[in-house]
Amino acid sequence: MNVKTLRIILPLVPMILLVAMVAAAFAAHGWDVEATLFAEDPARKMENLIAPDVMAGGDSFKVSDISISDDGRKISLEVEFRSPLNVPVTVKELSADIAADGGSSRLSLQDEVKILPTSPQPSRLRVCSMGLLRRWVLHNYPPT
Amino acid sequence: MTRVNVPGVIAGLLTITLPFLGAWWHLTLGTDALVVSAAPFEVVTSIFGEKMTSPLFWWFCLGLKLGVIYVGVVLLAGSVLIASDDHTAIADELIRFGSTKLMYLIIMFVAALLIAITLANQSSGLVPFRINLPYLIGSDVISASAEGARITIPIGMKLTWAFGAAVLAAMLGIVARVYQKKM
Repeated sequence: MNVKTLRIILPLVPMILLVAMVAAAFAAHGWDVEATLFAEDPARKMENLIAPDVMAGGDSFKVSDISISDDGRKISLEVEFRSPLNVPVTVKELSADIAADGGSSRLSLQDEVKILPTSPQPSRLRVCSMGLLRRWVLHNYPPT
Repeated sequence: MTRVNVPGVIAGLLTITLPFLGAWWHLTLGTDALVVSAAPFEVVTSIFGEKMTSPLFWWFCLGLKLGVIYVGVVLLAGSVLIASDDHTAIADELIRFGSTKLMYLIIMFVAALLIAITLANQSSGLVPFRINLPYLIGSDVISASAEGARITIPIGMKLTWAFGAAVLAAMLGIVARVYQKKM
């Protein structure tokens, strides 16, 4: 083999490899373009991830109860949360600034909360303030 | 034996192993809500643990893997063949071909990532959340505001040691080319 032939063959091999692999992909899926492009229908994949309620526009977050302690220094909120996802999710950090008592207070998650996939019964969370309405903490309710 | 192109042999062997070393770059959104592991010859995307795959892309990547192995074999063959006086011209040609392809692949990979990240950062005006992605490595947050509420999602990117091995192989390939001319 002379150098001129080699100079032509060397770059041809990778190109032939790529073309052969693309042809093999179609051949392996019966020359069906959709089956070759997508292993699974993307819409079905999304349905597997997202709950039907969310697709239909249902509420996922609702405050179900508010209670204030006798001395008025502590507020508890009970929140119903319906996960928009069909997969378990762990919320590790969550915070919100709310206007209260002439200033703003921060609502934050004390411990991580495991949100189960969508189910007929929503997850129940309890939100309560700590201290002088300056520090709010979101607890998993009932505690886990 | 002393005429063997040693940098070329090392570069060739390293290039052959590259497709088996895994991804060169990782992107993580949230804890593991979206995970992208990418290399020029494989991109694995996982959304909430659900892997997104395309058979066509998988086969195309297999072709690229074989292509990288081919480049490594060519470089290795050239580096060893130089020891034979009868095949010097062929060895020269093999090294000339095999020494630069990996470098081009790395440049294209990094350029493609930088373009994609730049486009994503530029699209901040089109979407209702702020995107400020780091460039290739680092961490930041994506934040979205709506009705007084704000959600922030951590995003992290990192280059892996496999990328370092690829850069080393590419550099050794260039060294092998220079070394070949001096032999």
